[in-house]
Amino acid sequence: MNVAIYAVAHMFVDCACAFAMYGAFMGWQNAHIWILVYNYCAFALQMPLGALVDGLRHRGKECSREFALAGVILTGVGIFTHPAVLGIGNALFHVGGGVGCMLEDERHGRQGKDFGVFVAPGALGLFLGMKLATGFGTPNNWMYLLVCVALGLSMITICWMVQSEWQKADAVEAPAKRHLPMVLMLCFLVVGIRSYVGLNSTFAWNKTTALALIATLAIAAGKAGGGFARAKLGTGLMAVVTLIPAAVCFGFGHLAVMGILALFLFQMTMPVTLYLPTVWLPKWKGLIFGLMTFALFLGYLPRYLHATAPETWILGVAASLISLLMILIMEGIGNVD
Amino acid sequence: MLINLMRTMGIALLMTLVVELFVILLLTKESERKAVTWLVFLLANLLTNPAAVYLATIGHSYLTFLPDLVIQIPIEIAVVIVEWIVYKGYLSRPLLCAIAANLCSWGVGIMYNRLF
Repeated sequence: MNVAIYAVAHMFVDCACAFAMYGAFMGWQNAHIWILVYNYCAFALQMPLGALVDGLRHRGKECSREFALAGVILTGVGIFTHPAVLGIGNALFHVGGGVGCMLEDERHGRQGKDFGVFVAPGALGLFLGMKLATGFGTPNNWMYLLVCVALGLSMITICWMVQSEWQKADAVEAPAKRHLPMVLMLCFLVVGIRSYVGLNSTFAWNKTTALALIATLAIAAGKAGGGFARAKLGTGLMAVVTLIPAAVCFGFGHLAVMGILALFLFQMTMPVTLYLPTVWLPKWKGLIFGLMTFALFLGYLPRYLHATAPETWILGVAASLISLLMILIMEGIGNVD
Repeated sequence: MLINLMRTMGIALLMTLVVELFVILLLTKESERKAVTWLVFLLANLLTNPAAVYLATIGHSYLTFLPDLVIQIPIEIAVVIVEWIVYKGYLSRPLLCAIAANLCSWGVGIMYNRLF
């Protein structure tokens, strides 16, 4: 139940952020700076905030829900004030919701299934927010009210979760892992590559709203399905059966069906890269979540700096195979399953 | 000017009381919702809200070189600290209640100014 609440709230928060960025802040003077400020606050700040959540957990205060609540409220404030406020709200929500879902997943022994369920609706929220901001002319007051009502509902449901008692921090000891820095770095690289590919993939067929929506749903379904597939197949097999077909589909990405399938399969490794580090470092879930979102931020920078990207099919094929290699090395030397 | 300021302060106080009451209701347990808690809540807001609105209005009028946000954030932090201290003896999670309630009322205030 809690994971479902976080997932829906995730969609609303990301929708609100995309709506405010595309509908209001893009029109500001020096918009490119504010976009960077927003992305920095939303992604890079998750690392220190994650460390803070972990620190509080180690002192016996599990406060991920409180972070998520503050994030939702600050996102609402940010829509009407400043991209930095919006970004901080987004970061607080993601850290709170992410750690909350990781703890739920661990408590119920769901082996990472909940990670995908939490992360997947974000893509849909971004799509909806962007469409709301740009698809119907200039955003009007009713649209702002609609977004605020969605955030208000999220706030009320998270308050309901907060109502239950603070839970004691789980005292899980980190299992001794060989080559930990190496496997963490590989995981970080896989996330960065996925972010870079996601932002630089352009398909000729992706011109209509319907196809854009289907592509977004495929990404969301891939993220959600990845957690379940990993729990069923194990990390290595799951990476092989998703990333090799993803590489083939990227090769034929000029066809809409193959492109959509490529996006679906490529995104399925997302919960894996979120789940594995938490197995290696169970006491530092917040920091791990923040570290991986920092990789997302680094993957976004080349596009911000207008670096030329290779053609989508070359990028997709290469990224799929390199990611596969890295995940197999991670599994081998990290002994993760 | 004075009448306008009084009107602004009255609307702000009313909206703050409604919004913060709602948030505190959501975040407190049945056992905490006593008459004395609501009295403390009312007094805390009577203490902080008019002062905060007055300072923000004066700041907006005289410190024109500063963005509103730069004036409002320190004022809101001060309000949260005061309410946190006041709620300490009456609520089980005073800091959370103070932060959530004030962020909400601040957000609703900004939304009100932006939309109406």
